[in-house]
Amino acid sequence: MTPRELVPLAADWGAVLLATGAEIRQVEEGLYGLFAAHGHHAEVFVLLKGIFLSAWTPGTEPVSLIRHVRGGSGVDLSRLEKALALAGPLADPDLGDRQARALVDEVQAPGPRKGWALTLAAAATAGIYGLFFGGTVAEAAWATGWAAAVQGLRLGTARWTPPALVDGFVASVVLTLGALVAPWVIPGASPVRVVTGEVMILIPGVALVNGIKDVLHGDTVSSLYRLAEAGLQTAAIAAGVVLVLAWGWPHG
Amino acid sequence: MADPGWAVFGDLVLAFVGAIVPAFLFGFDGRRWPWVGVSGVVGWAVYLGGVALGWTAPVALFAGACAVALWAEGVARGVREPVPAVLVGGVFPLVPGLTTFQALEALLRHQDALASQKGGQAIAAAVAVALGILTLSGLARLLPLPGPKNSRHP
Repeated sequence: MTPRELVPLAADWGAVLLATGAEIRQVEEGLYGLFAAHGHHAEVFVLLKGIFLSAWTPGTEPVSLIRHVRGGSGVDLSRLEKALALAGPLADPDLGDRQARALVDEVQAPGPRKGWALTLAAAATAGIYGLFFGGTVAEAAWATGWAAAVQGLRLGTARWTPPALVDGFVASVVLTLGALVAPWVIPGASPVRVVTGEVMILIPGVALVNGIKDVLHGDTVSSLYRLAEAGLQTAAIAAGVVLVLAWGWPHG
Repeated sequence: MADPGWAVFGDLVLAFVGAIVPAFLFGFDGRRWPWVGVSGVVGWAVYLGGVALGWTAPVALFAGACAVALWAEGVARGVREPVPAVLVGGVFPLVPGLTTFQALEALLRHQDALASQKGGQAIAAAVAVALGILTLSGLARLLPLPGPKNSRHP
């Protein structure tokens, strides 16, 4: 493939990697590897929301492209895995432009995410981490049920695509209200122990760790952006929890 | 009081399930779930072992993250494809989500000393986990190990 054919394809592939939660280093190294495999020189600069590409063969004008990557910096491990696995096939010099485009198009479209699976995952996560953080079986069971209900509500309102901060704040408020009710149903239950298991479904732990990995690789701008985003989300979640606990349980 | 051995066993079972289940929230499609679960067990077992040896929490977390990354590199080569869920799932029990939450909670309650203490712990834990992953992933790239099927994968 020529640089003119490869550059838009590489930008699309890189955008999928970024949008599904790859590290900046993974995207940059993947793109450099792709151009090198096709015998082109390249300069690649990747930020969390954008890709800057130039590629050329000696003696020709460079082909340059800027791609704005829209959407949240969410994690979709299934698509990320599929996108990473394209590195080998895309690097095949015998692969035609249309075949390569078909491969990238396949991972560009987000597949349907099953609501029941996400709800089950949220419920189980709340229960498991409720126990992991020292809660009783009854507290974990309460966290499980309440997390399932809140995840169902979040999926039901997903069509309005609330900003992550609003989503985190509202979800944490509802989760904490559920935790406050727990002692009325389960004698001796601690709202704090219940809610710490519940909020694990909201904590952006992967983004926090990825942000630190990016800064250690020298991708400071993207890292700060990712850490700020994850930090604000965590703050919104904590604010929701603290406001409700302070309102409903002064000694909490 | 519960037998400490059973308590550790229980923790490891929770780490096994606790590695698999949150991965579904991040779009994990469920394939190769045993490797993801074992990843959680490996990381948590090494962390607990480190704590039992008297290491500080960040050092034990560093060792746990190294173990998870080593396992993830091994699985990537074993199944000859990148499997991000193995690393992400395995690290999840080690991510200081609870400590971060406690720090922010203390901050919002104007408990500044506690907030500083918990915040420092959370940052140290997160850095230790990230350094552990970086160290092992970096070493795996330097050592002449047999590569995954798609050897150019980032």
